[in-house]
Amino acid sequence: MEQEDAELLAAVCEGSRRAFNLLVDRHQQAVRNFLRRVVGRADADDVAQETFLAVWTQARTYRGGAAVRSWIFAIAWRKAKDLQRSWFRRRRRDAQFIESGAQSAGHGGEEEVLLAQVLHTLSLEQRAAIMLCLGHGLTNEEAAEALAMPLGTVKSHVNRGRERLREVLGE
Amino acid sequence: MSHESDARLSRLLRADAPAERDALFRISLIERRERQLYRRRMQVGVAVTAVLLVLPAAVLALGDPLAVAMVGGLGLAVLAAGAGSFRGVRHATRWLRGG
Repeated sequence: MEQEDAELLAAVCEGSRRAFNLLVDRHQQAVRNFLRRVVGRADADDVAQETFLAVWTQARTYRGGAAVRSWIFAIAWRKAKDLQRSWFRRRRRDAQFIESGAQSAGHGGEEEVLLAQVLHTLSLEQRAAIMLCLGHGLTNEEAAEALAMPLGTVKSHVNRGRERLREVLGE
Repeated sequence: MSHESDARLSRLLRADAPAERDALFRISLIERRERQLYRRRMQVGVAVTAVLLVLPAAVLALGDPLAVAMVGGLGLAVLAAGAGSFRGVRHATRWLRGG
């Protein structure tokens, strides 16, 4: 899978739209889910599209050190942080983040509502670390690289976040 | 216990995930990419046109009508190419939207 991703990315560098579409098909679900939990539903797809456009234009900057998936998450994270810098959008997003939790409640029940509420109380960095490590199975090292954070910080975010989630979800 | 608990958390965190395949997302992404390409082409076009507008003025100041005509013709060709690419992008966008 990883080798195929790298091959697809190499083809994207050559301008292959087919390779790009395959990469999008493979990773859009994870990236959009990550962004929904980090920046909220309202902005998630917009940021996800910006992320994949950056994959298209910056494919040549991939150096092969990290997994392609981690590299895409790193771009998504930078875009999410850019969004966070806008005060007005942050205010609107905070309101919509709560609303999206309520929307999820219709699909997933009480646990989903609780989860959305707890996530909202965490910092952007904690949410991102939790989503990458607990939600999408990245190792702490991969998450640290994707989020450009020290390994210890990621471990701390994940452990505290995990405890908080377990506490609220009654474990 | 811890493993089961993590699996449960993972499942809950991914409960809000979109569909594995989402044609609408991909189409709007392609549309956005085409718009971005078009914007870049236009920026280049505007820059080239600006240069081509300044050049005739400079050549005119030197008083060579043939050179003015050549540079003016080139400018018109660039404008026509820009208009053509604009129409192409509009057609592509409409087609992607199924119109």
